Amino acid sequence: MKKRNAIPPAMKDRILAAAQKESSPTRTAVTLDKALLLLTAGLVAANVFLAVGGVNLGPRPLELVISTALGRGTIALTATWAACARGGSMLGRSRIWLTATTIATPLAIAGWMLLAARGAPTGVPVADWSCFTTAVLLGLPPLVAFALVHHRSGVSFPIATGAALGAAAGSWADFLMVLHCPSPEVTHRLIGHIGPTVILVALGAALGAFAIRSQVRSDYFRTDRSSIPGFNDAG
Amino acid sequence: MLVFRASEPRRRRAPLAGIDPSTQGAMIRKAHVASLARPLSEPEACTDAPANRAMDRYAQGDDRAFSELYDSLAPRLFGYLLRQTKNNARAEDLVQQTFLQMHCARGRFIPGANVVPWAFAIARRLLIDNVRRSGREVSLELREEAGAPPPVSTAMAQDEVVHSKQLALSIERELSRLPDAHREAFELIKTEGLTLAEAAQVLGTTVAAVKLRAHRTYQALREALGPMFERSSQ
Repeated sequence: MKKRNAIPPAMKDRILAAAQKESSPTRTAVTLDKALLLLTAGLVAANVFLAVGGVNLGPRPLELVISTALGRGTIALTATWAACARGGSMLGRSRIWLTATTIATPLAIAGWMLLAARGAPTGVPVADWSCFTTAVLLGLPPLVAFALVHHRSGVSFPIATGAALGAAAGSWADFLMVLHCPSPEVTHRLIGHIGPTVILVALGAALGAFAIRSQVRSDYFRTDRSSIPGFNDAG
Repeated sequence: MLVFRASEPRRRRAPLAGIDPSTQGAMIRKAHVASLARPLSEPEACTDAPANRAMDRYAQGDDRAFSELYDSLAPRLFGYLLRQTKNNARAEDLVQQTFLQMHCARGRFIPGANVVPWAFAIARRLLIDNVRRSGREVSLELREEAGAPPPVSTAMAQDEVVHSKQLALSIERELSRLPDAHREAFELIKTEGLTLAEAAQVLGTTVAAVKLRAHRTYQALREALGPMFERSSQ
């Protein structure tokens, strides 16, 4: 008599046969793909940056620009690590960690900005909408690349992950805006440089819901399985 | 007072070598009931290291490691899915899909990550999706009601077998009355042997929440079953 809670011996053979039939990339191939994707995103962002005028010191001393860029670059690197690294788990970081990353990143940028604004000389006023649009355009390539790296990754909190990735992309956009925009006006920087981070966080959350979330479907392998002898007659 | 530990080691499932097969069913049932009745703080010993190593090798391209991975994980996944679905065919189908999803995502496996919570999370998502798509609730019928013959023991005392069977049915019935989230947290820890941290990852919640759910389930079982439950926990 067949035991009710026993795994049928044939199931292993069916699974191994199905796995052989369905090709899947190894870790090396996936790592290479991710590296190429991030490199492409970096190149696209660099092209956008050069297209809008590239580095523009204005009346700012070079030391101030370098120190500010170093500080903001550190924030961007930290935010990218916090949002992208999964903390050694296939299911990603906790919701608290991701939410903290999303909130802390723009706050850290604003804090640095306010500290640096004290010693900044007066400069030419720049339209808020111009910097806002530029920053969104600069942040989009890294956001798309981060989302593709996490595409269907099966993390536990895809929306929170997407939002954190948006904050990380926003921090890279802000880093480039530090090099590009010479305006020392705090209101302008808050609206034109940090404001886009909010947009990118919202976009990231939306991407998380659609692109990062696992699309697990019961009939996902139905088509392929039908061609494997004995695969559908389980039980 | 119960003490929960996130790093709680897990139960080792040793084969019942040299024991009459007709006795094994009742013994397993009794051991399972006793494990459910045991407070959650008791240490258990088990390791996921072989499965982790196999998955790591498979991610690097060693195709033979998939067979080892299957041997390590399939019984646990099948047991979990069978308990949730109460349907052999569905459980088998979901195990197959879980392994195929793991196969497709092998390149993303992080070196040093624990494969067990990941596998259970995939299985759970597939299960939820399966329930949603089928448009009906997972059957809560007891296994015996579905036609499986109860295991016959010759070595164990008849009253022990009856008590063990009654308690197993009572626990299953009480568990089915509890909220899904509570029952699932309790089963992942007590039956599947996951740590609190791993169960939290699988369920997509915090360790504190899992701890609370499992504790409430344990309390509910103790209140509902009373002396019967206490007797098995001794």
